[in-house]
Amino acid sequence: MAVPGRSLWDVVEAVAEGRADLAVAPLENSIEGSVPLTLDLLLRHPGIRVVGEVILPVAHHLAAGPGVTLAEVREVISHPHALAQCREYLRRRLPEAVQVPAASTAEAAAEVARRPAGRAAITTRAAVERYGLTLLEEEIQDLRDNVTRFIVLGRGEVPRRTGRDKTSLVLSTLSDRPGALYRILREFAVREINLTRIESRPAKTMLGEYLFFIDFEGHQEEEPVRAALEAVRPLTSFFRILGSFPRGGEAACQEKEDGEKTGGAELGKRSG
Amino acid sequence: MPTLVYLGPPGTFSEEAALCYARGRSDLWQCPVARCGTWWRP
Repeated sequence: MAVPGRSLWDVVEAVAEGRADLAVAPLENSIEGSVPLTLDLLLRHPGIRVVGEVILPVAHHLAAGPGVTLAEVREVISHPHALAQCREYLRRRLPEAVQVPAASTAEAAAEVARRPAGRAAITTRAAVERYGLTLLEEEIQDLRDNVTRFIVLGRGEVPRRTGRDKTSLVLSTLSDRPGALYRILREFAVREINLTRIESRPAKTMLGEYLFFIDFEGHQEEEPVRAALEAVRPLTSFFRILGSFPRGGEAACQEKEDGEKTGGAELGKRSG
Repeated sequence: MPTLVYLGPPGTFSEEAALCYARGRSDLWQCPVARCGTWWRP
């Protein structure tokens, strides 16, 4: 059963506090980069782990109330990430419009539906339909291949190995000296373990102290990943495995859809 | 049935990601029309 949460905090805490079994949270976008709050919430709740990921193509649409034209739009409402992913479009087509942040793209659509005069939302196709808006322009994101990666969080056991897994790790180096991070990364390189993402976040202790979020291919219960983790742990002052999980992907989702579909909505037609 | 929470309200990309994930797990995904292949929105 899928249920909505009010904020990213609520979504993650629902799992951490046992009010929900699983949570879906955005982690990174191909245009705008990471979602820092998701990383921070992962650290804040050591009892939760990453159990899956979903990589979703993201198409943004400009929508307004019935009868409102593009020329009448003075205010564009959306989630800050959506506004940022349409920056070039807005500069070109609506340079005078005021950009107003909303809690989500669906919330933006609801707000425009409540007070439509002179306003438009950057939102999903599903929200356009749900809130009775009219599409002004479709697929306005600055890059056609706009993709967001969501992680799935849970509390239970580590998902079993599938042979097509990833592992997420967060750590800090043992000391601030030349080569500290290199020595850690070297343990992956010498074992031919492919890193898929590395990102630093302030440790929130003092200026210049960082945590490194590292994703790589492989499962923590298989070699050579196990050996790499054993080698890395003594090189860190903070070390936490955030989870091992089956690799997601647009292709995997599409295959599933194609394999099961006998009619009805296709992935390409879903809320953009 | 396990509960899967996403950033709402309904109509967000998070909802879509949640449904995509649920669809890959038989214990989460239960289309009201058996094997109709359409997205079920709560």
